[in-house]
Amino acid sequence: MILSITRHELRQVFGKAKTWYCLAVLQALLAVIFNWLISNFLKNQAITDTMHYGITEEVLHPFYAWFALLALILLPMLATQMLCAEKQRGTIVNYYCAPITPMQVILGKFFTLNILLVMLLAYSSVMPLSIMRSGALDWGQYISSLVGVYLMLSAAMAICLSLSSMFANVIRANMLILIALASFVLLEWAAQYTGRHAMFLQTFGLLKPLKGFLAGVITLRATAYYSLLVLGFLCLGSWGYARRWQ
Amino acid sequence: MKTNFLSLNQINICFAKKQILRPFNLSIDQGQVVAVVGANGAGKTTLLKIICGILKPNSGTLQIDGCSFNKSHEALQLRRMLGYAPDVPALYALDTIENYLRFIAELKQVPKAQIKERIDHSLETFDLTTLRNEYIHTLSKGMQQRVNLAQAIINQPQLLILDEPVSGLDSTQCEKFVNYLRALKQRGVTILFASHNYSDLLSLADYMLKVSNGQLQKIMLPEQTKVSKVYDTIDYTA
Repeated sequence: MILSITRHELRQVFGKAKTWYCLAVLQALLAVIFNWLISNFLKNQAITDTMHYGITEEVLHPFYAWFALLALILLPMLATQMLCAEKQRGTIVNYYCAPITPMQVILGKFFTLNILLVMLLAYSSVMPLSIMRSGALDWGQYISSLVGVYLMLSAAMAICLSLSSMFANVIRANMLILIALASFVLLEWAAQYTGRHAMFLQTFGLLKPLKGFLAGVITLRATAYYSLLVLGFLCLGSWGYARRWQ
Repeated sequence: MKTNFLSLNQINICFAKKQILRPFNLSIDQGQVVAVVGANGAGKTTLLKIICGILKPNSGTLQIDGCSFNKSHEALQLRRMLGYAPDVPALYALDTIENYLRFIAELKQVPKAQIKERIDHSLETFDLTTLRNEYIHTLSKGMQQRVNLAQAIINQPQLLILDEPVSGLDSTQCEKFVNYLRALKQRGVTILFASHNYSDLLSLADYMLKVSNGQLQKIMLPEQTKVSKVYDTIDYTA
């Protein structure tokens, strides 16, 4: 059942020209960023003989940080198309009249977003792999960056999907999602100025655990944090979907 | 045929403090065909949506074949036996007709081995076989309505709920559809429909439910020959 929904959603997502434009723009932006990072690296290398860090740290680390940031802008738009836009168009009736549980609907849509994310990661990862031609790639950091970005964006997608399930208006849902995601980022920024409460506020950020992954460190705590976010918000999404009965 | 196949007890529904339907009782036997009539905005669609489980009433109980939407395992069972064609077709513009029907069949948990056969049957019933690979956004309103009706019957429902089923259909399609509903009635399928084009559909109905001022009124149709006279006597402005 979940696979049927995923298959259907993929057909819908890739049937729209908008999706292809978004993917093309994202890839173009990433190419520009990657080129800029490589140029900077080569310039610095020419100035000083001894670099503090290798090419992976200097190029790959900021590249995936940018990737995460850009994907954070793109994914909410796709998430709202999955549930909220269906409510607005009235096609959600197909799900309401079917013998399926709210969680199956949410999971079907979440897996669609996950497949999109994996595809985005796969085709964006070709650029960092080109580093191998001119230097040694730190495979550990490369893989941990991929895992980190995947986990962080999965959590963000779960948040987007759960909020999208509570609204029938796409604009309202998009605004709330942007506010929610910005709040997660702002919490970390605010943590710098809060002294002894810093640790507490940082715990609820989205980006802090990602920094460890980008530096090449996969910690159980960060993995568990993102996984719990996914689980929690998927349950919330399921509740939001079923709320019409309340 | 089961009696009280569908029963609504003291159902009451309000939207934004406005009472749409006052508490009412209703029971429909299996195999009966009921026409829901009333003026625009009287609450016909709301009533049908309550029966489908899309809307929850503010109070009262709804039971279909002894099952209720309030219990999750019973709700799933109910949705398996239900077919619903909304007044505005809930179609995906970017799907082909066949892909859409396949998706609905999968959602309704039609056994995999039967999906192709059911799609072919639905397409044939509504003369859509040659259009099966057409994209839905390229279809006319009438064709989209036929797809809407085709999806409602794909799971061979025991309870068929149709909101404005003949809207957009030409006279040939309409006649064909009425004959199909007649065959379903003979097979024991319970049918509820709301329509403005009664001349075609009333011959099927066992009785009518008139919705006006938030109240339901049962109007019997003793002789099919008098259908048009009964229809003429209904005051739609109430």
